Amino acid sequence: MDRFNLAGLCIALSGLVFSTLSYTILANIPLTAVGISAIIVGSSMLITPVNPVTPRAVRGLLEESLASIEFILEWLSVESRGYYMVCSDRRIYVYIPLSGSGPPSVDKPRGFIFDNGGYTYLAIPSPASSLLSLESMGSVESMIEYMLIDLAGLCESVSIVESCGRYTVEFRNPRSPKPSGRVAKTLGSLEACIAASAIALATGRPVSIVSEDDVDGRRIAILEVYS
Amino acid sequence: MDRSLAFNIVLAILTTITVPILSALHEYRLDVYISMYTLEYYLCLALFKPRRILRLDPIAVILLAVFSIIVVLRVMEVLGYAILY
Repeated sequence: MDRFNLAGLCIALSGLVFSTLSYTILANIPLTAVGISAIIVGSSMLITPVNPVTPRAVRGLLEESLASIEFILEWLSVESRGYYMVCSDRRIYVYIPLSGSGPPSVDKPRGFIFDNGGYTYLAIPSPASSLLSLESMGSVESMIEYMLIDLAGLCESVSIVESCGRYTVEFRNPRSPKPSGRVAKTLGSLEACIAASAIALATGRPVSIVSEDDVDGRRIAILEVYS
Repeated sequence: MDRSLAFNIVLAILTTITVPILSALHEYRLDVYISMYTLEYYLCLALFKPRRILRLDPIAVILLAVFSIIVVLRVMEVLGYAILY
């Protein structure tokens, strides 16, 4: 238990003792109310999760991870659109076709570069894969909001609209630089990458980033879910 | 600032100032204090949308249940079955 949660437990217990004594011995309603307020605030602190790593550090790690992937993509001269898919062990991989198109039909990548159905694919773990495994509860919206706003501080707010297997995700004031070159074509920006990984995890189906544009301090990404 | 932390700070401030305000108005009914706490909790919940360890917020559920009981008892009082004073 974190120190913040422990402090909440202490405040709640103190409030419980204080309100009981105030009500039974002193018969004082305002003091009893003070004790009840301590119980509420202490309990709220007790059930609040604490992030030990700062959003700036998480953002830095994610940006470095994407920069490392960029070197690999440059080295292999890859330009095809990637497919975000969940493996049998709930890790998220980006499958980038080196020949052909469409998502592969595999449960787990059989190596860095592998053949599937006559086509060759490059398999890269999604930069958000390990972070998303920590956040396995809630809806797609809450998962994306938590990852982008609370954990990594990548944008101010997110709005998601789903229609006919397409998700339109709008990131307000994105803080990561817009990717250029091969990363933009294959993986998309860090915000879109996290959103695609979360949707792939939630739906269990391949997801690709169809388009991504920056308009008036907003980044709008359109993600397609394949059946 | 993290929204969960902001939620706890604002909630603590609101509940703390509620007691002297109601006390200054010579309010000695405990259910009024609890109703105000419930209102403040839900207001902060709607404004900050804090993160929770559990999927369901147990404090919100308990406060709503207590608030519902208080409302039922007050309605009974109006109808002539006084339980709360």
